[in-house]
Amino acid sequence: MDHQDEQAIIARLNRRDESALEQVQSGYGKLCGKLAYDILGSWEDSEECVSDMLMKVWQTIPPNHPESLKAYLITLIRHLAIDRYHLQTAKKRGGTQFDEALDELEDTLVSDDNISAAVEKRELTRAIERFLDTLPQKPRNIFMRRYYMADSVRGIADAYGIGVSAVKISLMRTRNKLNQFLKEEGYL
Amino acid sequence: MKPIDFMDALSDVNEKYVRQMAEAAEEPAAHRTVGSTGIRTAKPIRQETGFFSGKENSADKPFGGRMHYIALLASAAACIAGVGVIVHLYPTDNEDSITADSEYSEVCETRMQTDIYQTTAYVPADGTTAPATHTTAADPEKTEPRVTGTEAAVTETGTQAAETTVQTPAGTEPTTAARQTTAVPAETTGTTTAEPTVTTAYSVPQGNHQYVPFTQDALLGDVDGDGDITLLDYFWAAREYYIQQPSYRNSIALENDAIDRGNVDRLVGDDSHLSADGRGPSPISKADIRYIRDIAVIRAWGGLPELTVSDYIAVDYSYERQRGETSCVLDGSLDLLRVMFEPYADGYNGLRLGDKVPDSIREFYNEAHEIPDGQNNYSFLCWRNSIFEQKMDELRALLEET
Repeated sequence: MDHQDEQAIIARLNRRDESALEQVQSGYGKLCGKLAYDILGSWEDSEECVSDMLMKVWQTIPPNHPESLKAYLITLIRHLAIDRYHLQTAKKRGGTQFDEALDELEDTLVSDDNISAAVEKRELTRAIERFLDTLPQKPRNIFMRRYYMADSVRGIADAYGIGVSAVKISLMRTRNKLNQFLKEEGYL
Repeated sequence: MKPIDFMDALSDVNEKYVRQMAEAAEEPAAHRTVGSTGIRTAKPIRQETGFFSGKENSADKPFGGRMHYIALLASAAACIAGVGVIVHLYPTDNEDSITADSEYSEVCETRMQTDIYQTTAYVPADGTTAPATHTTAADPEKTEPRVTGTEAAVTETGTQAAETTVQTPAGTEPTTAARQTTAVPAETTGTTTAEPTVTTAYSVPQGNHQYVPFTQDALLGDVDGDGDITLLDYFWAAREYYIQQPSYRNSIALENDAIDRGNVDRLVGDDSHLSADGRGPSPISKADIRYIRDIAVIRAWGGLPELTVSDYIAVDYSYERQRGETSCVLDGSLDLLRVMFEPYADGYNGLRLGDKVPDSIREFYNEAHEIPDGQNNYSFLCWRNSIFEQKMDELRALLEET
């Protein structure tokens, strides 16, 4: 699906044409489903994420008008999958009455710490962007494929037509650079 | 910082990085032509499955007036699973069918080059540092509708968004779930390993090359990332190197030592070897390959299981040693190598493993290094991808047995 196709879909979404969602689904459903699956490890959950994503697409376009629909969907599905991941891990935490009590208190006990954590997160995001800017495009894409898309090393190697070990080495280099960068930035 | 914190923050990076990544994924197949590298020509599985091809836009599918998400998604999932099964069941057939005979010959025609004349001075970097951690509780940001965009972005609730530079999809469901920061792939951690900083000082008999200090991760040796250096790392590294390096694809370059050294220096000097079309040369140098091999052998069967990469590299048993020019710091290393490898014409750098190595491993290794009739390259470089991977599985089993 090229840029023109994507813009046509967005135009149809702007016109509230439901069939645009079918095209989103057929064009990018597998991609998004796979991304969600790589994060969640469950096809059932990934299907629900994709379903949620389509709903969000419907709700957010318009007013949004993404330049790249594909990138927009990837970002959206990752958010949804990670949210679900948090939810799942929280559920796995216990299930006891004590856990339940903790959950009940959670919203009540939102404090400045939470706010500062949010600020920290934003700052960290900016730091990550600065780090990504230091990387050549290829290693950056490999890094993003692995840690943003949660793609497998083999999958990345196949996608870029390079060897598994080359991917691993690239990732290792980038992780080392990241570690150094985060240390310099005071995050580690 | 815990990995999940990093992943959370990564979720919000500017969309341009995602876009570049997504666009790049569609390109590599188009850049590859049959007969170029001979090995890495298999069509990316993901493109076959359509995950990244974007070619499966079937707008003409006969869906009715209403959307049936569940049916759609279930069929998509089944399709993905089905293709996955097929790909896993028949991965080699596909690769083999794409690897034409001409490519096969081309790989086999690539030439092995004798070792590079070089001296090296290695300075290990500082030691390992465990990443600091902190826990992030419920994230208020998640509770805010976040819409950004190049246009005036308006949230679902009609609130003007504060940030408009980062185009992030809005409407991600807020979650108040506490952050449970476990079950994240280990590879996402910011763990570091000692990283030798390598300074080259090649003695160049001819040519005019600029040699600069560089940091060479490959010298860590754990190419396959399994936590140890074994002959598996050697085979992967060697195959990667000889297959991907342009001078080996174009064997005429090998006739000139200076060209080869120039390649090595270029390969390890920066990241540009990872070229956009995925056909760049390997980041691994020939010296790396030799070091990895020798370290694997010495660690496993040479009585020095704790031999570090930097220690070994400091030995630098290369040609200069024979010429009496090396500053060897590990006495007896040359003798050790002579014991581990069969005596060979040049005395130390024999390519066949000696009888200190268990028979099964030695036979495997030596057979892999036989030069087939009519060829001038090692057998393992002539194996097709599928065969190579199968052989590596065999070697792994052998290594586990010994």
